[in-house]
Amino acid sequence: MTVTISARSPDIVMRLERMGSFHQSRLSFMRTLMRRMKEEQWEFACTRFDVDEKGVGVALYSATTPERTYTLVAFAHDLPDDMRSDRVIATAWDTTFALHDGVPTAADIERLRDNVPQQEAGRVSGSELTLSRANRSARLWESVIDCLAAGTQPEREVIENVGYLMRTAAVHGSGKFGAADRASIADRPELLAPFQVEMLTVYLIRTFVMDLVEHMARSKSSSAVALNPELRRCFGIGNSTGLGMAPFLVTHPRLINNWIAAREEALVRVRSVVHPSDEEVSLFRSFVRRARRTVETWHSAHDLQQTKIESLMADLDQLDHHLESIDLTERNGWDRFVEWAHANLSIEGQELVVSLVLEPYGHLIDDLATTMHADESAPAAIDGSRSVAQTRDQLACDYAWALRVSWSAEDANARAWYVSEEKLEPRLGQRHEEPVGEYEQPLQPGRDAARMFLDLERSDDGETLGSFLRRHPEHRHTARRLAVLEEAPYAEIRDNTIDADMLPIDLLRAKLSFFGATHFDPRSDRWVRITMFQGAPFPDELQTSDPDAWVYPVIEGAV
Amino acid sequence: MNLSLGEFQALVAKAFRGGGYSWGLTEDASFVARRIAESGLPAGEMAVRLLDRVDGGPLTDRMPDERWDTSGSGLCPVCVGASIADQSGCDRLEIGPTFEPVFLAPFLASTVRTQRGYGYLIEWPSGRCEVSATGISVQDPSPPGAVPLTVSRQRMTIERSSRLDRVELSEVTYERLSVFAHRTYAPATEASRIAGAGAETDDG
Repeated sequence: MTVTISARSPDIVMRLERMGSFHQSRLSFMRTLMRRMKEEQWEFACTRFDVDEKGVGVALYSATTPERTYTLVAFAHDLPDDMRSDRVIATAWDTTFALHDGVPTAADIERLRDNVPQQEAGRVSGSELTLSRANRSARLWESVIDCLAAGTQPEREVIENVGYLMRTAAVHGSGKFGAADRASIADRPELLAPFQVEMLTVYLIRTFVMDLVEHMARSKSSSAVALNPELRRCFGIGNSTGLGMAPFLVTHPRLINNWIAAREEALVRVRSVVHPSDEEVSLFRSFVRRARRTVETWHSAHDLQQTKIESLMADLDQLDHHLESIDLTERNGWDRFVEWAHANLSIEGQELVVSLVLEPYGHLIDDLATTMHADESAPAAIDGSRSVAQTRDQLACDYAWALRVSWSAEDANARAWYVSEEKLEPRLGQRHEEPVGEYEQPLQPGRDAARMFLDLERSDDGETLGSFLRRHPEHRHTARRLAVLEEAPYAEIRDNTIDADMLPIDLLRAKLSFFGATHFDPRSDRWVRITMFQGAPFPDELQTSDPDAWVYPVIEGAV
Repeated sequence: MNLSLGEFQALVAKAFRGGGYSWGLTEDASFVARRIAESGLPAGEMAVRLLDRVDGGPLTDRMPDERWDTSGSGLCPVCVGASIADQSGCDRLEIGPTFEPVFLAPFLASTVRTQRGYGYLIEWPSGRCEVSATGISVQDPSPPGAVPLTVSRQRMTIERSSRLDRVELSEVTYERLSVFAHRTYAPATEASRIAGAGAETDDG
């Protein structure tokens, strides 16, 4: 008998607790980029490295595809320690970057030198695709230089525990601060998948940072040594992400749907494999062992994350035990295994299993990466000919979860998302304690849907939605979300985004997992540090490496 | 100033919100402003004139009533355009006095996307605008004040016009849009700065 596997329901997937437990997967944007760079044999070069012994200067790193060249223009600065901050209100950084579309001229570099170090206070042009900056890890930077200058290699364990020498604090793309709009580059095949220019920027930054640290060691001592290549790969790039990123998941419903739908479809395809092969199962088992190593080196100072890591370790123990007792090559092995995980593991563990079972099946699922973009240039059309009764029924179905919330309760309505005058960045305030309610952004679709429902109930069943919206223009954004949900079932987070207990880091993690981040380390309930590209082959190693397997640490005896 | 389309759209969205529009209409307004700017028309200036005209009045005065009219000083083309788009277009409509009629064009174009060879003619006493899914052609783009409109769907072919991918805004227009946008920002206080962003000073 053939079992038909259905995708997991949005009611299960689109809960904040689960989204805050997502892990990177084969469909993460970083991995999509790595596969393409290898497949298309992109060529990389450091075409200029003018950095003095204090670490001040400019460097250029180019990535050439079969069609065109992209160039990272990197500026290195001598930043006093007391000015180093990842926060959005910082005004100076250790390094600043722009990704230039093509090969920059001398005039371009001078133009960028006048603007890029100022970040948001400067302007880039339509010839730039991203604007970003990175700060040193105070914990590791000096000690790595000292080791290399003394002719020794840093301890592997120390590197793994921190994971990076520099942390990016923002990577702005998509037309921000004058850069090119996504729409103007989205027709390039290499940029079709989301966030590819941002991922390329970070990948090139990582290469520059490693060159910079070795340069600084050589400046300190003529007998300095280079990093051993294996240790070098242990350095990823850190990233510090704050509240500013959180609204993205609410403001891009069609895009988020496509991300989640691709991952859920991938899971369906794997669960539908009737007879898993010995090779596939053995690959999976080795990835489970290697994933354990990732979890072992995952440290977090945050209590909530620490608890989640501990339960994930317990999940892995249980998983190992279970794997000893089953034969995954039996009929519908994956489907039964995923069912078992959902019934027995924590949500962190369940989501790790989802990512792991996808690993052996690149040939079945990697094509889904091309379905993860979305054209969001035009607002979704609203069918105003619908009746109030039809609209109300649809709303009651799509937002059933929101209609169960008691919105008059203080806790359910405790927060308000607003934009501060100071840095024009999203913030989360306490509605009942601060005067921020009147500045509220539309980032609480559940509450707004419940409000629209009340007004629909007070209207005539036969009135058209068009007429209703003329009387109630305040519900227009909710009517539009309803239109999106008809074609995009995973478009909406099915949780209260203004609840007293809501954790913004759940929103951040969901997005960052799709980037391909590992080692989520929340520093509070609203900002998180992560590691990107840790273990990844450098440009000169790409053609001789597996573009996927690096994500999990190499351990002896595992494939 | 030379802006990306995304920057321009985001600025216009904030300006319309600051000008008293609902969130849904704000999405519509910023999208149509972007489309108009892409066709090389001065969308920023039009947006400023519109916002200045309707500023301070209630949103209901700008919304069309059942007769596509208003008892206020003039209709908002975003409110009218959104209503026409919601009903998937129209054959012919007489519309009461409306500010900046070109703002209607992208809404109308969206309803004939799949109807090849069709477009809309928007007429007012001193000018007209033809629009289809492929292009736009305007005479007298910004009449002074609100003007009565006739909108009719017609067979037409407009040469496909190239789309700009940047927006040039004068300092005056940028500043004026920014003044409206600024109304959407909560005044900063030290307490909210620390609590709201939730950052720590640790820099490990």
